[in-house]
Amino acid sequence: MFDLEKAIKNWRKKLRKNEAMEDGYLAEIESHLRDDFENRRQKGIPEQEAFQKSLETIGHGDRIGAEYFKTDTRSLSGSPPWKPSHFMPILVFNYLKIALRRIRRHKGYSFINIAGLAIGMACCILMFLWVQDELSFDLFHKNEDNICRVITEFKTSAKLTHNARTPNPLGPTLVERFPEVINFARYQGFDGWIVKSGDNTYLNDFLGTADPSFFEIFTFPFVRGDPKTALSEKHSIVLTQKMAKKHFGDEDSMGKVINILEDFTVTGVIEDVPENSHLHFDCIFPIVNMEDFWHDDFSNWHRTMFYTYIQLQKGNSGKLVGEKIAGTIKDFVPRSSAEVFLQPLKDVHLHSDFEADLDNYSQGSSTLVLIFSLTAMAILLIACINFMNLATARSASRAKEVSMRKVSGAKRSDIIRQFLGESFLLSVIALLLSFILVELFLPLLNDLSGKELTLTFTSNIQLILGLIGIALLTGMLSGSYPAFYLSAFRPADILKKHFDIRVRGGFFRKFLVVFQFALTIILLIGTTVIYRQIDFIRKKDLGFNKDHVLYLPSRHADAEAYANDLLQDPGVLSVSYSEAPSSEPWGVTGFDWEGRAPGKEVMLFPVVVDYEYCKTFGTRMKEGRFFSREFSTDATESVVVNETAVKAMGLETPIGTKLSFRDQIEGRIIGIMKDFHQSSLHNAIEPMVFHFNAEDEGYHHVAIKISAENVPSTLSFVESVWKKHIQNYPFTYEFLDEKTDNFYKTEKTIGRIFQYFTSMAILIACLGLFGLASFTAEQRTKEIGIRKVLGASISRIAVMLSKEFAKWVLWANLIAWPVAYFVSKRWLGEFAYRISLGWGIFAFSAALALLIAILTVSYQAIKAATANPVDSLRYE
Amino acid sequence: MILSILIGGENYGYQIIQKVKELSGGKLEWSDGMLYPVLHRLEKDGFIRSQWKMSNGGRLRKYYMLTEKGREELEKERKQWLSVHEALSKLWKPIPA
Repeated sequence: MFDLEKAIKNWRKKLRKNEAMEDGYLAEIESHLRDDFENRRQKGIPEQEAFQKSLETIGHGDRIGAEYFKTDTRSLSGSPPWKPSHFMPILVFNYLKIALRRIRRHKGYSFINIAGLAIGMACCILMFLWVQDELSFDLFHKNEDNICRVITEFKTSAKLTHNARTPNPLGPTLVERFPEVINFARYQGFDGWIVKSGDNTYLNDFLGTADPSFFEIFTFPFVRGDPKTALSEKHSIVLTQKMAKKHFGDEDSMGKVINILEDFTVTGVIEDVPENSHLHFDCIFPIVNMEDFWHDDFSNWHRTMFYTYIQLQKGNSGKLVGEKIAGTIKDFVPRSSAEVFLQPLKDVHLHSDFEADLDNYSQGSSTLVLIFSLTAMAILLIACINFMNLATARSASRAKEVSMRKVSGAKRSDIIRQFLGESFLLSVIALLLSFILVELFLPLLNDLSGKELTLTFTSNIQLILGLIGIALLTGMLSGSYPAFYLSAFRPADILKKHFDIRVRGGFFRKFLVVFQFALTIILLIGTTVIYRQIDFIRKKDLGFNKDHVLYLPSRHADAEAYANDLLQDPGVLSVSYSEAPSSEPWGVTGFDWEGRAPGKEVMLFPVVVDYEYCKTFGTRMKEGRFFSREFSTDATESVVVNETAVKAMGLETPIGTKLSFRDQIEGRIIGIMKDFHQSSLHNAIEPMVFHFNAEDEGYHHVAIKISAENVPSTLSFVESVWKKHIQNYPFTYEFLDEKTDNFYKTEKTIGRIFQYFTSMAILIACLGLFGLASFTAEQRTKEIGIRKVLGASISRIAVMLSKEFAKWVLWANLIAWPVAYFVSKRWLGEFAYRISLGWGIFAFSAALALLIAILTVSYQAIKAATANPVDSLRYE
Repeated sequence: MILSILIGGENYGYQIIQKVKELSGGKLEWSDGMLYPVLHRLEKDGFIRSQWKMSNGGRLRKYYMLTEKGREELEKERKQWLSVHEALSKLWKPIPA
């Protein structure tokens, strides 16, 4: 049976939904409907059909409503609000306002959120700037991809040894023989020479000497003069701006005279060498002068004083050409097993761990670059995870707000847009804040690392764009969960009193926290490892006594008279003219000894000594004896070797074996020195040969062992003796333990940088944990209230709340330990002498992480536990 | 058009629309419902006035009638239409066969 009233009622209900349909209008149209229906019935049409037809003729409810709305509204566009708005900017502004209001209302949470993300981003930026700089070494030269350094390689016993210093004639020979090699330049650098200009005398200029083609290959920008001709005259010199200013102030230095043993005329000025160049010098003068200064010989294949760089023709691969030229040395020195290969310029800074390489230069380490990159990403990840975690956790408490909005007419898309907009806003604010933090802390990082890092838009555009992308991504991911999940709820459900929103994704959030803590623990372990290794280095017995030993340049004073004068003071215990331990060792090959198997090559490190060596440095003999005045032939016919040298040479009865090196060293072995660390603990102990210098060579350094008491007065005595014997040079000296410490300058810097970043990571992780804990506590207020009423003690409740977090931290360890172990091992691999990765380190870090977590959580736990149950149960 | 219809006296929605259909010979086709918002607007502008009346059959209907303002408006419109019609008739001289 067709029920008219029922049909009309349904129809009315539908039309009512339209906002613009006021009751009055509805009544009128209903009246019309009835009339029309009656009309049709009179014509004889059946009820159902008549009703349908009437409905059709009336027309669609929405359109009618739209027309009503047009008349009623005062809005210009005349389009009702339920039609999607095409005018975005107004809406965006609205969302911004709401978002800002919300942030202000929950200042605490918002601050934690933004701060955590900002700190994470800032750390990431800083570390990436450092990494970027390390990767950019030497790239500023125009021909950079065609420049290679020539390295010599030989088999010694079973190992491959490398020497970055090459035979003098190698460069020109390569250019002559191989069409692929179009240019060469040799280079060497040193300091400690007197440099005079006018009335000025300086000792601290770093001097470089090179072939004139140096500036063709390395395009250092010239400010004055012409790179092509600057070094063509024998006594020409090119200064850096820094050195020019130092010697000549603001005057034009072109044409002026600088004296380094001889007069040189300034023929060019270049910009200061940038920090990211592996070559550092204050000036360059032509290499031919070394024939006079060092009595060098550029046609001698056995003189290996210089580094050789070559430029390849475009399109040639360094590897292939390297294979071609490999046997060049052998052609001229048949006895030698040395092969030659090429190292591309861009690899020099990070990938040179050759046994013999540039002096006065602390190399970069590719492992470190890798570690820093990973750490930067880890910190960023921790911060982002934090952000997302906190945002999604809090979304549960906003369920009520969401339902209110829906009831008052907000569409799902509006809510989604609102949530997304809010988290975008937060992450953008965090990004801006991080830029500010970076600017603040950049000076500190520059100080620590010795770099000149800057964050400018143009130079780091990739980084900045990348970060903006990450900020947006983080904002989107963290906003999307509450946006899509919450907006799907039906308002009625949420508003019901007993609705207990279990925010889904609890497991995911737990995983995030665990992961985050795992990263933090890895960083903690890393810091501990670095700290322990540095401590180990500092405390290790080096095999000699480095305390209270002065090391001075000898300046060719009369050795005997000088020593005698020094020994007058009781504070001076012994004086030795020798190369001290911790001076950079120079390894050479070409030694010959009795019983040497033909073809067996060994790289040995000769050390110039005198009778007082052992006494001054506290080194000990293993077998035999050291040089002694009692044996008059010692000075000319004896040598001493260390244990490692014996092993390297494979000597069975070392004492008495004859040993020789070209025409420079010759003698019988009279004793074996106990091994000590000549150089940094990065290197294995070198095989050393101790010998006296030839009479006419003289000594370059003098070492003075002084007593531990009254150091200042002894020092001034030494100075007075210096002044008596040496007039041309100012008094300069070093303490041997400073020299030793210098080896680890990089490690200490790295250690400190790492410490800072790890503390940042911990801070971020704690912020996140803090926020999460407070949220959880809030959620369980009622539960806690009930427990208290039932008699649970505060401590029991606090423990209960903390227990869960503690579990997460323990899980984090499981993930962290393998990764940390792997990375630590790799870094420690750079040291020939290192700590062992024992359980202690891991356990310590785990315990520390646990402690931090518990402290963070306990604050919230205790606060929740001490709350008045009456309040919490009245929460509704 | 609605105003013209109402000159004949007061009327209610359903009847008005029937009249419109009648007069236009079925050529003007609105959906019936669209009439009412127009009535609403005319009332807002003050050209017509409405009143709910109870009919004999017990039905409640809303009746509309012209106001003074409405009459004036109608007169104005009429004059406008007539002048346009005059101008056009002059232009549209019978087309030569």
